[in-house]
Amino acid sequence: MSSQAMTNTRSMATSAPARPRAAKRKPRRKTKDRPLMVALSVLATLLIWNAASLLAGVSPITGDRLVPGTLDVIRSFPNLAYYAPGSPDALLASSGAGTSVGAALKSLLYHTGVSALRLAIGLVAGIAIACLAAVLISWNRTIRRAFMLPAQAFRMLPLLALAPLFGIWFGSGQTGTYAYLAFATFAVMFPVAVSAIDHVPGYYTNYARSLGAGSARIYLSVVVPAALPGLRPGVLLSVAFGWSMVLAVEYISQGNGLGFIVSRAQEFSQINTLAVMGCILVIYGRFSYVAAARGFDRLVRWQE
Amino acid sequence: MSTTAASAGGTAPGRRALRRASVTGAYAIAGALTVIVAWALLARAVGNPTQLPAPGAVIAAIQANWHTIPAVQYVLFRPLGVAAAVSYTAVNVMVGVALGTVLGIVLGLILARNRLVRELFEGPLLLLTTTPLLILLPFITLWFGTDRIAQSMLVIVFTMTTVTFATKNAAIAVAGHYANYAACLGASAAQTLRDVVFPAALPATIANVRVALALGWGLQAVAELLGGRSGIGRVIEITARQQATTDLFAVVLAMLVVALAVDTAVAGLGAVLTRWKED
Amino acid sequence: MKDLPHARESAASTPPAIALRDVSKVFELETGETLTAVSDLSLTIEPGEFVCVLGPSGHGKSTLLNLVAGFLEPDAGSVEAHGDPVKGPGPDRGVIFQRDTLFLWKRVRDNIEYGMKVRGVPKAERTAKADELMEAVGLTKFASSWPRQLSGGMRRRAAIAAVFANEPPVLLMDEPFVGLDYARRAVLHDVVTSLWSRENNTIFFVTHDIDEALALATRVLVVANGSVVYDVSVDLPRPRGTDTLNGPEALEIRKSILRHLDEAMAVEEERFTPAG
Repeated sequence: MSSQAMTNTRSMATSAPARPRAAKRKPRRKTKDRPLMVALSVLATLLIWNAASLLAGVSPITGDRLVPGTLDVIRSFPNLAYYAPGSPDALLASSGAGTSVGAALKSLLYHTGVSALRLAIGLVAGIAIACLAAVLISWNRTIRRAFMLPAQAFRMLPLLALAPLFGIWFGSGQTGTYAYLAFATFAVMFPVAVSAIDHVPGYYTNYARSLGAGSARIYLSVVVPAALPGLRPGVLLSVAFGWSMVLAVEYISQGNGLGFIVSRAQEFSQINTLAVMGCILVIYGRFSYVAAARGFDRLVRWQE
Repeated sequence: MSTTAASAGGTAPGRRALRRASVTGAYAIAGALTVIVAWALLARAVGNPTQLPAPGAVIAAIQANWHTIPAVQYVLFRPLGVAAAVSYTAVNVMVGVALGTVLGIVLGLILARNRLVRELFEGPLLLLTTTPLLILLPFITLWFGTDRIAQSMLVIVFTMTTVTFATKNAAIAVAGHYANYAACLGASAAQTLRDVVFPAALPATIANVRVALALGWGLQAVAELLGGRSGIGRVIEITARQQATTDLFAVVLAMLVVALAVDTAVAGLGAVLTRWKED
Repeated sequence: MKDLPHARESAASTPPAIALRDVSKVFELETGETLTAVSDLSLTIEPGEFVCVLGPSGHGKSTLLNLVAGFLEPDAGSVEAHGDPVKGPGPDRGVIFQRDTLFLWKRVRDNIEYGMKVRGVPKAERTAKADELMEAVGLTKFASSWPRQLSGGMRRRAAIAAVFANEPPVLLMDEPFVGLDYARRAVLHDVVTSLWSRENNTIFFVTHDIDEALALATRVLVVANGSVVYDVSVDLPRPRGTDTLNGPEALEIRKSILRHLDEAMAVEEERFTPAG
């Protein structure tokens, strides 16, 4: 998102003076030094990270570094094998005996699958219900405006902390987890969907009416699709927050998933394992965000 | 809605804004009432306060629990009321959002103005915006303990990253447009930053502060839930464990009212600060 | 060309307001082609001249202006203003852009005073100058309005006042009145010419409207294919009403300008060099 804005302005500055006939003849952007800068950026990050690791010192209790360094993270990856389903005890992970990268990978894959499934179900259900509800209440402008405040209030609910409430309602099984994730996604998404419909420019409906379309038809075939691009920030926010919600519910009440590993690792003060999980989640977060953005842009590729 | 052409300096816009605000207010009250009625009907249908307490019971519980919540006192062996829990959370959220906003504006402007810094650190910062923030919590507890400031750390980080990129993008988008003009008038780099880039980015900054503020309540509450000493998160955790649903609803509803008030205040402040904005 | 007394006097003693020597500027396009926007161009503009630059779109008019403003650096040759080489933009060369540059977050008065403020002009002097300019462009009543409350034509007048307030000896205007209707343009032409004759500055005005050039200029340049292909002084009396602009002298200049524009279009394609 931001790099796009960056290149926009850069080309604006150079293309303004020479705007020959067709728009496609834009001056070329400088791309030669790009890989070098990316490498430098990675290097700078690694340097700062490991400098912090050296400066932060060592935990008096476990003897591990308080800020695990890059090497600590790589070396600790096999620890994840202890979290494989049916594995004896996570406590063993601190001793670091008898683990293999393959077993760790298998364990990681299992927990990733569990978490990703929860995330996917929560996101799909939550976004679908939010959009459906927004479409239902938005056909009339007065009703839509009236729901603006409740929609805003929904988003301010302490969503990440509401998992225990769903425990009361549904018990600690999967249903409660899915319901919680769907509800939280709904709360993030609903105000975005309502305001997206509210912001559809009036000329769309005027144009459709001039073509002779009836109001129900205009609403479903013109207003709703025109509002679609406005959902983008909501979808991306839902994905970014969705991971935290999955972690929260797994941390609190589930016996598997990435959040479960985090909770056990914290319980046993396995700083290095926590750092491994941190790195993995940074990657997962980025990957799913980019995938969601790409997918969404594909969905609304008709847009200017 | 407002006329764009010459109608400068009149008193009509002020009155019109007031009328618009009262209409919006009426809509809001109607919407809130609808939701409360629906909730009441649903609660009656469920017929079990442990599953879903009625609105009246929850409001009564706010009053009864104002100074201490019995279910919580039973666990903590000390009084913790709705007032204390909500104000603890609210102060942490507001301090966190304020700190994060200042950091975010500074970082965003640095990123926008300095190409080298941007090339080196935009990537890592961008990673932080998509990182599931909850994973930071164990590290925050480990490094900073469970002090108040540590409790607000999630809010600070979230606000900071959100505001950083909103400010940076807006600043870059307007920089090409206005910076040349400012340079022709003889403005220095610092003057351009203060008089041009910062005010031009302000609307986007404020919009994102509001997003951070809304989601900040959840981040703060989860930090309290997973290892805090006070706040609504702590209350949610204890009341949920005891199935004291009415008490849980009471503290959440009280927090929601405070959250809406804070949001309204920030929105109002933003509207005043950006009253120059075109519709 | 030298019909203005101040122009003749200063020309003898001071260096030219703008001097370009053998200036070239080449752009690399995304398609891999290169575009020579300005090639080997030399041009001298004396203080007090009002120069209008005409030419087809994309033939180097705006590039020329951006070189003088200091937004672009020449690939070859030199650009000088008042005898000093141009090193980036500065308050000695004011620019009025095609796109609106009024600061939306400053009221009209603060917009007009901004240039003086950053240059450290004392408050009393600033206020007086701003009052004077708002009077001249007819915006006195709107001193404390936000730009969004002004109409398009009023915004342009405010933008002009904001740049004139800074008293730049050279003023660069890049198609400043595009998109305004005839009547509003006529008002703005009066505003600009009266400010120019009062402030005694040099104006470099890019336009694609021959009528506009004839109404304003003391000298018209036709820029095509990166060079000045025609350079004519316009000695029409002022104020230039409809009669003057439709008189035989004006028609003669118009005809020769049109002829040079037509010739320029015929050779347009030659400027693009394929990649490789």
